[in-house]
Formats: sequence, C-alpha cells, structure tokens
Amino acid sequence: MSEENARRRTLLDGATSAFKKEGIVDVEEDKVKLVIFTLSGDYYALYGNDVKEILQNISVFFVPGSPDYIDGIINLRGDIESVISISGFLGVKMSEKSSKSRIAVVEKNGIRSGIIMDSVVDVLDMPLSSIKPQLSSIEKAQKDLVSGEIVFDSKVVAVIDVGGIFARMKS
Amino acid sequence: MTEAAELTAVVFRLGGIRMAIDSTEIQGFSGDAGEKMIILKSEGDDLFLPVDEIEEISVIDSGSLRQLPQLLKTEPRGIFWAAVVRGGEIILMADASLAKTKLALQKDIKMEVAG
Repeated sequence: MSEENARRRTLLDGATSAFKKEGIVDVEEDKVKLVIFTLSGDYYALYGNDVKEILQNISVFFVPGSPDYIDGIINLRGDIESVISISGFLGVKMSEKSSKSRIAVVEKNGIRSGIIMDSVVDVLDMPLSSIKPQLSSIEKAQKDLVSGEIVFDSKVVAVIDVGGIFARMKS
Repeated sequence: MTEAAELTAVVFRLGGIRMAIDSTEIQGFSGDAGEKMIILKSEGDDLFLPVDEIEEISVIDSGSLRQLPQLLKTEPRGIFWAAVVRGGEIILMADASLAKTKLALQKDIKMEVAG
C-alpha cells in the first residue's frame, strides 16, 4: 500500500511540475476584463467594469472656459457627457485625433465621462493574478492614477484607476 | 395635467460655438457698423456681447434642457448652466455673465473625431 501511495505521490508531483512548466492557466481562477488602448504610442488598460461603451465617429463640442483636461462635451443619445484627455495626468504628449481615435465612456463612483484614446488594441479577459502591483519606480504624481500593471504583447501596461483620475480632477 | 415650462431663448454663435441666452436676460440687439451685439440686462451699464451671428429666437421646453456633466459643473463657473441638443448639435445655455467673462474661444473650437 505504501508503495502505491509513493507511486501516486510521484505521479501527482510530476503533474504539478508539468502544470507549472507549461504555464497552464487555472480555469477556475477569477478573471477580469481589460480594455487595452494606446496613448501617444504607449499601451494602457482600463478595467472593463468601468467602461460602459466605446464610441467612434462622434463630434466633440468645445466648452469655453473649461479646464485643459476637458476636451469638450458629446451628445450621447440625448444626454450630455464630458470628454476628458488623461494624457496630461499620465505625463504623455497629447496626440492628434485620427480615424483610430475612440472615446471610452467610463463610470466610477457616480461620475461618468468619456476618455479619449488614440486607439483600442484589444478587449480581453485576464486572470486576476496577472495584474501585478505597480512598480515602485512609477512616478509619485501618477501613483494614484494607476492601480496595477500587466504584461501584454511583451509590454508592461499600466492599468488605469478611473476613480483616481476623477478624484484628481475634482481636486 | 400641467404644461411643461418653456423659455424663449436667443440662439447665437460666438467663436463658432452655438450658445443661447434666455430672452428675459436680453434688453435688445445692436447691429451698428456691421457688428452684431446682444445687449444684456444689467443693473449698472448695459452689457454688450459681440457675437458672430444671431441665429434664431427659439422656444425651449424645459424638458429638453440637459444638465452639464458633473466634471463641468464647477468650471466654467456658472456661465453655462445647461445644454440643449438641436439637430444633433449641442447648444450651450449661457447666462448674462458671459458678457463679463473673457473666455478662450479661439482654440479647438470644435474637435471632430473622424471615423
């Protein structure tokens, strides 16, 4: 019997080792939806839960006297929503609008707004464990705007905390 | 059944942007020397608001007034208090303080995200 147990143990150890080696993903693990997008050539991500819809081909109306980070307002099926640019907060250059530009309508803590993106790269489900804490090297000014980071397409991608962005605007 | 409140507003363009002011805040119009002016009611001297063009006098149903988004509620402080959508275009409802305020109207008047 003990020989049988030892054999089973060896088999289990072998399977566990192969599991780790081959990077098999635990299908039971909690997943999170992420919207990967670009700003000034860099990749960023938004939590899918925060994103209500992604718009294209929509006119943005400038509001005189509004803060620099507000691009304007849009008519969203009869409701008026603001459109913001987060480039300034992230310390990246604001890009020219192009045919790939999109507006992600996000909602967090009761605040709703559009966020201008240069392009949407992907919308994917990722294991929760793949979101790592932000690097300590991240600039202090951006710490409250980034909730973690992932590796996507061999690039480190900052996951944006929409709540942090809104809190920064209100302050 | 109560009728929805209405307001009569003067719709105009300023810096290419479509805006409107409640007619009860307007004293008159002036078109001297090719300039188009809206004269606004004021306790002191008349307030002159030079505009690009006066488009129409329009009756706006209060039900069609839309609140400005939360992120715009504090800035620009009190000048624009609501918006109306007409023909797919947004009209900003302004109050008389617009004439007293120097706003940057020249940059990025209307940004279009092309498809």
